[in-house]
Amino acid sequence: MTDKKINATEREVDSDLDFSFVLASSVHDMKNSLGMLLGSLEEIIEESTAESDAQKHRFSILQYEATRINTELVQLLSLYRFQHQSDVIKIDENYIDETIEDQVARNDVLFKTQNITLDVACDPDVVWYYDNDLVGSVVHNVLVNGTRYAKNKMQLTAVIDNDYLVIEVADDGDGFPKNMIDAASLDSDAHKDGNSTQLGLFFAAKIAELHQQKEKKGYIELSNGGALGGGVFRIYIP
Amino acid sequence: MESTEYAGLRVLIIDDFPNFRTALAKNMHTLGFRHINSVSSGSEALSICRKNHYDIIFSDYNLGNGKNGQQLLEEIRYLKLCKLSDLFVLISADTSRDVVMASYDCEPNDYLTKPITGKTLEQRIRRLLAKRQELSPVYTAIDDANLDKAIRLLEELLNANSRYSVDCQKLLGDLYLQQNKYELAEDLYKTVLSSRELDWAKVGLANVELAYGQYGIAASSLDVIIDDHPSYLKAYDSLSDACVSLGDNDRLQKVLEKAALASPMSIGRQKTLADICLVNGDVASAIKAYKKTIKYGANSHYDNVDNHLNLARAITKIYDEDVDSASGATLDAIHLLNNIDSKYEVSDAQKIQATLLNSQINALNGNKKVSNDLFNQAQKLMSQAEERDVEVEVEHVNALIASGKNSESKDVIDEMLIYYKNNQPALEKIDFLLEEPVSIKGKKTIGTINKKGIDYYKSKDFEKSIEYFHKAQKKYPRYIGLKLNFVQALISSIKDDGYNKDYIEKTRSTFKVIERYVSPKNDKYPRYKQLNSMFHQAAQQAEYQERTRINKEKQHD
Repeated sequence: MTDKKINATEREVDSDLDFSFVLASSVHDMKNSLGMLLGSLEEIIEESTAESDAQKHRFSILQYEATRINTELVQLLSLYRFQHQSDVIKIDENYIDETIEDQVARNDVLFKTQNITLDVACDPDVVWYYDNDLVGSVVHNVLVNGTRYAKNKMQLTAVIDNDYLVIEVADDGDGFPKNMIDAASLDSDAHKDGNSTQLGLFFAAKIAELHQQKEKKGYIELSNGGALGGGVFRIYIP
Repeated sequence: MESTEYAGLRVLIIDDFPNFRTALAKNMHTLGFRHINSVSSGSEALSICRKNHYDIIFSDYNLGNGKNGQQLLEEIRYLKLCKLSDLFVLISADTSRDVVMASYDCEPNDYLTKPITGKTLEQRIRRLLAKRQELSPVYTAIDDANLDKAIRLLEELLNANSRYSVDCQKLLGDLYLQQNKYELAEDLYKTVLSSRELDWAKVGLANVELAYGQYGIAASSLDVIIDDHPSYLKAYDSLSDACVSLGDNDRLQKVLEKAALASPMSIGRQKTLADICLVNGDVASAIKAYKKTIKYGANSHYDNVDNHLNLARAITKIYDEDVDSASGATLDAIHLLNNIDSKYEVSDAQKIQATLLNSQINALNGNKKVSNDLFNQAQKLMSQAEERDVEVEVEHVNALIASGKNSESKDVIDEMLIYYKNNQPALEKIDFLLEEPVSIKGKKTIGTINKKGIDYYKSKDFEKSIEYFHKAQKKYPRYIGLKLNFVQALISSIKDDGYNKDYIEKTRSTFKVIERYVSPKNDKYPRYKQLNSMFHQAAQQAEYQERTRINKEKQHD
């Protein structure tokens, strides 16, 4: 008898909290709609050559901003899953070059419209253990962000160093401001009080951290300088 | 970009959006493919696959009404409309692929997320075809059932450090197990695990333990894997095998329930769950699981008469548990049974079973005339049958009991016990009709549970005792002694532990079932009478005390 009463009250509490579920479902729908929108946009850009530089510029803004909303929604959804699902991570053996190639191909049109050349350096025979979807989404986010700050060059490299897979994205922009460099740690003040301006970094750090091997944990690092003189993002996966 | 080697390959595109079909076909043409067909639904896809062979199939996940892309894949594989080396690529607008797809029975060769850029398509095709080219001799050997050759080829690929080593290892482990090369399988999985703790290798190792007959050890390692990764479905399948080998049906049901929760769309798992619930006498769960099997399995190879017959069978069993709640569920069943041969091709045995079940449900609902007509129909069909079928005979007995022909039913049962005396599987089915099980398995099962119930009763732990008797009498609903033990424990709890609405209701409904089987001539009748009067006394007293307590509380307020 008492058990039943407890269940009933639990359910009442649940229905109050269900708002986060409602939010997650609608984010999911928005994300899918935006996906369709992006698809059509890409087709339009491919089919119709821009008549002027101004139009080309508008195309690129449209595409960049839509991609950005899309990735933010994906991040929100993933964070929701991290909180509500026990096993969000699926570690398997992957070819690093395939993971990277996928993300580069996905943003092919974006690089073209933004007039940025991307150099990729990665040994095609290297395999590593990680969640292909999650790490892929980090690489995707970093590439999309990079197109905003790079002048005209970006570089993506992946190597195994000291038992970590290190994926690095460098650009020739002005570099990261100091508060962003500090935000690379999950303990950073930037993530307190639900501050979402560094959502992308929080997301990347969280995914890195979900990758654990024995006592080692993954992490991210931001710095300035590097081969192209701009910002450098690195993710370390044990 | 264009490649001549693609020109000879056949491609099928399935999507309900014409724009998408055209766009993808255009992209494939640009890449050099020359044989491209497009259709808009799963059923069209099946019929075109029956006519033509396709090397690559692209299907959207969401295909409007009817099958979705994943169900289409399962159907194509089940009907063997494609070879192992053919590629099935599932496309979806959803990026979280495991939400949609991993919860099914089989996996596609690749997933693509919309929007698909030309560049992404080009890369994926190149990769998939490169892999297919390297592994196709292995696939051909497996398709030809030449597993030793497949093993040799895989070992060669691994020695040559193939780019697809992981795929080779996974496949090779399975083949070693299939060919009883357990030591080789064990070595392979242990080698993989020495560098990383990967789920597939852990489950592989548990499968080796199963093969060695170490069921308990295998089960506990699988439990750990499932705790860590509740969505890794292969672990549930192996754990189910372990439970079957251990003969632990209760645990098997729990595992399958968890698996069904992790993969609600997997019809195969849903059906296995339904079957085991029925065996365990968990009628309510069985009904739920059969309904899901029927709903999600519509238009698939799982859509068959037996699911419907079993659902009806489960519904008739409610009468052995709770007479009052049964009639609500029966209308659907009657409708179903009346229309069964308009939808399916039914065998003679199935037709007889359907008629007998229908007769039972009508009898239990008080429609004597309809029930009798159906029963006579069934008997006529039975007399024409060439072979005996224990399942038909079980329903024959059930129909006799439902219409109150108890002595006649006893004669039939006695004859069956003689005829099937050396047939344990048949006896296990007859057990469910009997006052006491006669099969070796049935005796063992019931002996253990009953003893536990009695032990707990003696130590006055009525709650535990009730739990065991409840389980036991669900398993063997005709075992009246168990039902009487069950109500005795309930009554003692009401007497000693005080008012409990749930227990009072349970006792009442169980008495109603007992009354169906125990006539004044029955040797259990005196015990039934005695317990019944004990119950009325205990219930009255408990209800009185409860009222006094509530009144006191009101005064305090």
